[in-house]
Amino acid sequence: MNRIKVLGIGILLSIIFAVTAVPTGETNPGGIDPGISTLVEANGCSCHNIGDGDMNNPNSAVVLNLTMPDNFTAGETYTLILNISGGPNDIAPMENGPNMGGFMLKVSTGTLMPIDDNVWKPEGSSYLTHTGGEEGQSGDGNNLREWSFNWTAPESDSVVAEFMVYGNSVNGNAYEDSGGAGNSGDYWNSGVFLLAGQNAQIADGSDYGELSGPKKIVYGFGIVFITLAVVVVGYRMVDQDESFEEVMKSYWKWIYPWLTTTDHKYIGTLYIVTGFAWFFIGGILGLLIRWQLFEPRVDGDFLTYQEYNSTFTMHGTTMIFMAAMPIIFGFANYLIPLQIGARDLAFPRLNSFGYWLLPTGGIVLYMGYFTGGAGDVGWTGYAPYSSGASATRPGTDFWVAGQLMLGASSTLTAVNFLVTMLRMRAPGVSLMKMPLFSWSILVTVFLLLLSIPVFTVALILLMADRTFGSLYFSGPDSDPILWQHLFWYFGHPEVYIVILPAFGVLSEIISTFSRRPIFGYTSMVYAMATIGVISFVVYGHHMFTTGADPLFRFIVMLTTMLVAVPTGIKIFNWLATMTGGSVVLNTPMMFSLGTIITFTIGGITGIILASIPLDIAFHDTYFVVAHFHYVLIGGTMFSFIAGVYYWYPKMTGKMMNEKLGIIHFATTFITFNAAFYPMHNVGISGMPRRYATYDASLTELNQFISVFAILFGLAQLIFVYNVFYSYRNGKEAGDNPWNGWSLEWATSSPPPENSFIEIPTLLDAEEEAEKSE
Amino acid sequence: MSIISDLIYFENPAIWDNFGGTSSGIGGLTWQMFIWSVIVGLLVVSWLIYNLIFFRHKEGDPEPKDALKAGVFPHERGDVKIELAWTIAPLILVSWLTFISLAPLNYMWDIPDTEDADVTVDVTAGSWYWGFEYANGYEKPEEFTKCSGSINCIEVPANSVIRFNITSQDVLHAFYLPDMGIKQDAVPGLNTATWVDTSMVSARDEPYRIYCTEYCGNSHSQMLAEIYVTEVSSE
Repeated sequence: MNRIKVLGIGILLSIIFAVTAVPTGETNPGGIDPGISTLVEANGCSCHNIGDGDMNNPNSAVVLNLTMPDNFTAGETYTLILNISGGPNDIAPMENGPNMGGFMLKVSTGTLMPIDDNVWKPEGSSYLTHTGGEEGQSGDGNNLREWSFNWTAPESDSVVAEFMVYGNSVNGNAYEDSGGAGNSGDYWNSGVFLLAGQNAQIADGSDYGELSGPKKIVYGFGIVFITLAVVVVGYRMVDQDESFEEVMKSYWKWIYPWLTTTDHKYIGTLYIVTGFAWFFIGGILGLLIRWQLFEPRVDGDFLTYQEYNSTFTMHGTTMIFMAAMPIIFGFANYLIPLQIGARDLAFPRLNSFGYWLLPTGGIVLYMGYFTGGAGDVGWTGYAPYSSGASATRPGTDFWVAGQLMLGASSTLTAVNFLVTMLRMRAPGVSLMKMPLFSWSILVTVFLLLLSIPVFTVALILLMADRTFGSLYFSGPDSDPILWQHLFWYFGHPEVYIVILPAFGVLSEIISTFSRRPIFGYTSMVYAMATIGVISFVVYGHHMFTTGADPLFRFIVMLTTMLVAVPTGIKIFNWLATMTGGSVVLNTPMMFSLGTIITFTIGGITGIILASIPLDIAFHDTYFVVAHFHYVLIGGTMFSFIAGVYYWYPKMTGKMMNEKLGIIHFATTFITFNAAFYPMHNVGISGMPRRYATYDASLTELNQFISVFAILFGLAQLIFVYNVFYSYRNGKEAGDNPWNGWSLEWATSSPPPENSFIEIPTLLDAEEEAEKSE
Repeated sequence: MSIISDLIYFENPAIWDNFGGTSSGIGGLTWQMFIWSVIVGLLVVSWLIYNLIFFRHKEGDPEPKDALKAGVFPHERGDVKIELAWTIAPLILVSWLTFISLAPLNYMWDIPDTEDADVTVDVTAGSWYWGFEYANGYEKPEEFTKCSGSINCIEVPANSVIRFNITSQDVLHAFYLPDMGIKQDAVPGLNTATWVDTSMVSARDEPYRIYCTEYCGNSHSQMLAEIYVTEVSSE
């Protein structure tokens, strides 16, 4: 036993040693810079990069100098002077003659213009270079080491212009005489020069720089949290006359079971609480986006464009992977063993491990904020932008690493549920007698297991591109579309992964509050399975404009349209369940019915987007943003909020406050529609998504959206208050407050430590009826 | 009041103004999609309201015969005929919507060859600008005076077929003409093409907008260009 341990540690150590000792990262420490497509451009001069024998690396002997004013005024034109010294030309000086130097210069903003024929701006490009290389040019900028040109400042003086210069120092004689090799040859170097506008705030550059928007919030929350902790602990120390150790011990006693638990009910609760916590953090990021879009802002007015990009990236990633999925897993964790009559999941420790990967993965994702900018690649992380050097570093690396951890968490959880549901059902619970929520989770975990590994592979390839300089996505011979195939093969099933459990919740609630069995149980199960199967053959509809094979695009248009059929069956079955029932309108039911309306709208816009001619017009505009918010908030989040109202009595033994619930529903439903419906209009008018600023003619609609988005956010505080308020003051619930049928209502509220005192047997109404006859 | 009219009126000539249908047929498709969306939406909402009015639980109502009981799998409830009906009806509807998408699709994907197009423009996307160049030896007519350079500005003749050959220098970009309903990704190392018939928009002195719609980094929202549609006298 001991030897195995030693052996294990040895192997682990040697792996760690191997990873650190092989400095693969050095081959391309900055990753591949996609802005520069060839080495010819990268070292500034194509004709004679010889001499020191290393055309890939800059030579520090070459000194670049750019003479420019202290700051600039918007729209003004300045004459700048670029000067090169050092290098081969200094070793063997030349007064004048062929090939003394060369340069290439790019600027991040404003326009560059030559003023004499020594400098040249190639047709169709924005950069400048020297003349002399091309035919038909009168000037010979190759014979100089100093060039002048004009730069027209941008319309805004609150930005910083970044000049990227590549310069060669050449000794022409050496080159000519030695037949190409050169004694002192041709070295190059590059440099970056910053020129700030008059009103530019140089964010984060110095220790005294003003804090950026998201950082302010992070620090703000930190300060509030620490203050609260001091007040609470201090209060207990002073008022209850306890020592610091005693206070800490009492907290530890309370927190210890949560840290070490393997009980599915505890882990389920942890998942749900963590999911909602991330949901609120993601919501705050969403409100930052809306505040940025309150009016057309210039760079840095509220958020800089880079911060804005990080914000929508983290918003999307947080909402999908750290809010929606954990909330689903939470409910599944809590309810699946109860619904199928098992004491716990098949692998409780695996379950705990899967949970703890979630908050840690989330923290890794958010680490980017403390390293100069979180990942800014969008939740889709499209290569070659994400594999290139222009994506934030190391923010995007943290994004990739965090995603890998979340993926591992989901895979483990999926295996666990699959085994549990196939092997541990109580007597009487055959597959076709499982509650529909269990069925939705069963289909979901199948989707997870088949799709997440593909995403994991894509992420590993991306990480290799970013850190080891491999060329899966951004080399000259690589396929930039490959990432999209890999991502959407996972990404589309992922959307069904988050919507199918919502269907399950709705089926449970609507049946219970109509007081009658669900209409068409069998067709509901088949509809969910069909959606699951189709979800793997529709992913191409995210790629209608990429220029993929027309036949491929045509086929996915057909299959995407087909998704509407099983989805339609589900909606009609819910409505038919109510018809002939005895509908009780409680908060969970209201949220469910609201979901039917908003989800129907989201489904209809989905069909509109499935039609290729219309998708070409609407793709990547706010119409798409409106569509997926209607599906994900109006579908998933609404039904899981309904789920909280519905199962809260089971989890805590207390009823939630009905009046607060109704107010919460009314405000949420109204503000949600007011905030997200106009996005359809904004999109049709042509506003692309992920824009940090926009056409001024859309200001009014965007302000309308922003105001209601903030109100929508505030309305959720009622929900938070209700959860805490009811925990203390709620009425006693009893075992079955809503008269549901599935097995979780047969145990006590909250369930006992082993979930069931005695493993129950699910009876069948038809058999019961026969028996009584 | 303008916010209200904004909410009702979708401001985009390419897909809305030509409501009855343009040569591309998009107007007609939009129209049908809109009508069917309203019909399906109203069907769901009115059925929901009907249920809420006529099947509400009132004090003292008797429990339904097949009421749910904890721990008992309920009676199977359903009607094969009705369920088949609402399987087949949506199937017919989406088949119809797919079918009417085909004509505009065929039109859009029938990109004219470089020789057949009146003007061919080579579009090069870079971070963060659009470079335009007339291909195929096209000589600029005298009327083209609005663009000072070839960056972020292009002028094309009215009433003619324009083909765009699109590529990218660095990362993904997307060439988007919202007023003409045209969008095509610019992919590094790949040549993609799209086209537009400028007779669908009017010639005017103000430019039409060109946006980048594939996220490409910091100045993504600043990667704008202008396209002028100018009347050219034909000789």
